[in-house]
Amino acid sequence: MSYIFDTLDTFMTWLNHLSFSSIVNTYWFIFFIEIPRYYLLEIIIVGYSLFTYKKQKKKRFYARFRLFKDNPLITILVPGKNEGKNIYKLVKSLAEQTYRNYEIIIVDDGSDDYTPLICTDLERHGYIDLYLRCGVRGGKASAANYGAYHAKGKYIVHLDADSSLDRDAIEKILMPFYLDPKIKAVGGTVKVRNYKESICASMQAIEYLKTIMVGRRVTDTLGILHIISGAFGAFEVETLKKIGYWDIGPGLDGDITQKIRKAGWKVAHAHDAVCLTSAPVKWKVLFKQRLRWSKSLIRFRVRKHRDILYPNRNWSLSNFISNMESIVYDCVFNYIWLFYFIGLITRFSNHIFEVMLLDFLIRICLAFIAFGVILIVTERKREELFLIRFLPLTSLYTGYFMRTVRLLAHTKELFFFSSYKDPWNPEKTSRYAQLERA
Amino acid sequence: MITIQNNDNNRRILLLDSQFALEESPDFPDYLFDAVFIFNDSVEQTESILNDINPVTSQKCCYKPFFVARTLEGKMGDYSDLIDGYFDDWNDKDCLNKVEDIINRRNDLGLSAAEEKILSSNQFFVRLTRFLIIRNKLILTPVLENASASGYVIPIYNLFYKLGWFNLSESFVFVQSMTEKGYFRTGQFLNRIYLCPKCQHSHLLYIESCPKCNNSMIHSEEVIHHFRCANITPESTYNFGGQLRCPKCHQMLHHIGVDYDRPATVFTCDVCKNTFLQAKMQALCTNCHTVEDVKSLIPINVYIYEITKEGIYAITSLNIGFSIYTEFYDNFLEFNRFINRIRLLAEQKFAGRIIGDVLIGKIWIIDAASATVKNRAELLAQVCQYFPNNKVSAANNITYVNAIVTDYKGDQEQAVLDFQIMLSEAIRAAAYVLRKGEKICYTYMKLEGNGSNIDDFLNDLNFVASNPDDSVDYDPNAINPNAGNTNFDSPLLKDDGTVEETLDYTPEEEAPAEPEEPQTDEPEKTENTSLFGRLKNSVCHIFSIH
Repeated sequence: MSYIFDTLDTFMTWLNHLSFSSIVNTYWFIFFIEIPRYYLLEIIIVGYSLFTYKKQKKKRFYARFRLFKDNPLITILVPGKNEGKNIYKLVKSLAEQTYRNYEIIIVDDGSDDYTPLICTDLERHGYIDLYLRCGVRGGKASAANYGAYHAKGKYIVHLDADSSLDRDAIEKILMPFYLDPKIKAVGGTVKVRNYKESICASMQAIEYLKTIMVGRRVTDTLGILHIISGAFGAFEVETLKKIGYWDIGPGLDGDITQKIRKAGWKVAHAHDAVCLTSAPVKWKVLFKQRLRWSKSLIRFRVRKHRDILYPNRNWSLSNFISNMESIVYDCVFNYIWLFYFIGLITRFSNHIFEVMLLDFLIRICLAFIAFGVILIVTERKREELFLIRFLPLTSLYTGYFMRTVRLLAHTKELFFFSSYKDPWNPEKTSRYAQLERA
Repeated sequence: MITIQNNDNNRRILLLDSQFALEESPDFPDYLFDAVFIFNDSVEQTESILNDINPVTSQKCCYKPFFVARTLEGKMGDYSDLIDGYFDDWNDKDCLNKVEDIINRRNDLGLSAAEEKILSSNQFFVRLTRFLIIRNKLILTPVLENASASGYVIPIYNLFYKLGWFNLSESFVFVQSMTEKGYFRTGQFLNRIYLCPKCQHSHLLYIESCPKCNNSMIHSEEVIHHFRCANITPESTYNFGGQLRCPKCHQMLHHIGVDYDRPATVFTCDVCKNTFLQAKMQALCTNCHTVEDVKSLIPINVYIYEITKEGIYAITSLNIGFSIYTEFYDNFLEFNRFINRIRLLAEQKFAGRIIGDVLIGKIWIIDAASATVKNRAELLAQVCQYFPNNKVSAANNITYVNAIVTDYKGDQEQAVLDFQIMLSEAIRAAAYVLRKGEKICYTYMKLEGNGSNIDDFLNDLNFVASNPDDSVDYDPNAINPNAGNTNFDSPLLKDDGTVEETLDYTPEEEAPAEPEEPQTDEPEKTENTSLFGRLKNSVCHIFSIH
């Protein structure tokens, strides 16, 4: 006990002789890189959208009116492998939708369980409109393309089999198409359904709220939205056809967003179209998932779509900023953070404990600020308040865990092209993707 | 030419060489001949003769041996099952033996050589099965037959089906109920076939059609997956001048499994342009033209059947109809259904919708130790025959008769008395079923009260009364009124067991006869007098007992 008090005492005395400028000097990474982008910008943008709320509301009202007057057929496309057990739940949640004019296409990418039985049964009973099955696995992109080719609707809503939608989610995700005719793809807000299942899932719930619900709203307002979640996104069929549907993944959702942007169309984020999905509950599974996601940044943004970065071809300012923002913040600053972190340890090797503790405290304060922003934006405050107890852990989660994963993934991909070896895609397709550098 | 000749064993053989209306002819009653010999060289003519007279459906030639000319051996097809031999001479040694064998076996089984006219398919099946038992053909093997309605068919069934004696569903029900009763045993499993749910024919055309518009104008196409760009579209979109070229990235496709794959086949409807993975399978019945989903077809297991020992006993017994079929006597109800009916009647009576009394007669047999004995099929059959307009049931060693008794002339007591008289007569008619020391009794119950006691009333049905309204003791001279002749309009038994010739009498609860009033209507006088006499006898008998 006395040891703890002694430690605290040393910490307090160390803190007392620090000036504000010396703190800023020490934690320059937080103050000059993280706070402006992740906290200040978000507060400003959220404040702005609250300020223009009434104007937006009126616009949205007319957009909704036009949507229901037009009443286009929507194709709900659900590609997946061995997802039979989730399909019924999904179909049930779709049956509750306020927007009624839709068809459901389930694409089975070479399942080897009871999925074909379940799906043919559902199709026979009219719960789904079309069940397509590939006898051999071809990867998620090919499954989505197979379904998209048979879509009869004007828009495709792409869903993961383990997601379920709010009653008005389809209506809300379609609305941006009627707000601006240049918008050809809309992403929904993805939240974690099983946020109570484990600490790992709760941490992801906070992360999803911060990066998707708030973060994408900010990038959307700035016009630099660079990803539409594969779990819940809507696309215009004509545009998809022009850009040749999905290319082979992993990270095909980011890729298709890039392709749409490059074709000169806009993408938008519907912050109020909520989709719940199951997040990994084990750290190991989460680690693998994030490795895969992070690799796609290098594979697509740095390699495949590098033409966006060249001013002499196919250049547009918003695309350039959008791509640069994600490359710089997710990749370059990660390496800088590594040097900053090593520097911190070497510079303050005799005060390392105090330095880390202060870093931790600053991050907790920032986490509470971010959570305040989340509470302002969210439509289900009560559920979100549950997560407040996990806020102290977010500094460890985003500050160290996520950074480590990203560093690892980017390094692996930059130097070893490891995404082409990922079992997420069948080997036969990955081989070609690597040959073509696609 | 038709004539009757004696053979060496003094059996009379009916010889005929052309079609002849034997059934209608008064010159040839059934007792004049023991066997039939058809002398005709033509297969067609012999077949048409057999269509008219055969050992199954004919009244006069029932179960009798049938022979045809030796020249027809091996040419008779399905009809060969009806023929006992092919001979040139009725005094051939084999022929003589065959005649004796068949007649002896028929006599052993106690079957009469003359049967009543077949009125229902069930009667037909009983007759056919008896024929098979007499001929000792106890194994029924279905064979594949393209001209038959159900594909697999027992040849002799098929023969009579073609002659229109029954429809297919009746034959399925018969075989099924015989199997349930244990009269038929299923042998080797042959196949599982699917029949049209409407007409039970098996000649179906299977058609692949669009699940949306049910049109069969559909085509299937393979889908090609180009690995390089994840394009996955039908093969036709890849076809560029005989080469396969990806429509998305315009690369040539070279080697299946290396740069492209064919993961699936899709159907497209040419009418509604719908695409689907599995065509809907429909079955078109070539007989009734119904188009049905294959899932609604009726599956039937085809087995080889064997007639069991119990089956031989039950089918050759005279009251077969009752023990196999409740529908053979259409007034028989199973006990639970009988109870339901009583409940329904009670509800209607207490609601005032039935005028008159709801009565239930109970008939039972007690042995020397005054214990009730198990229900006998013969008793039940007799009661069913005796009360054709009343519902009859049996359970708990008791046979029940339900009646709604109404007298529109106002004398309700008399109407109830009439029902009692009929019960009295019924137990007399059924007295032949008694064994030594046994006694047959009856009593009746009347539904009274306000509906609250219905459960008590139904409960009381399970018990016999200690003092029956009437009873008849064992009489060694009592004879079965149906014996030797299953015609149900048989002479009734008098009290002393002798047969009294009586006019056609049908008991009717709605219009009971009035015994007290002498009739003035002249033409009906004989009948009424006879009726009056019978009723008077019965009434006297009742009072002598009480």
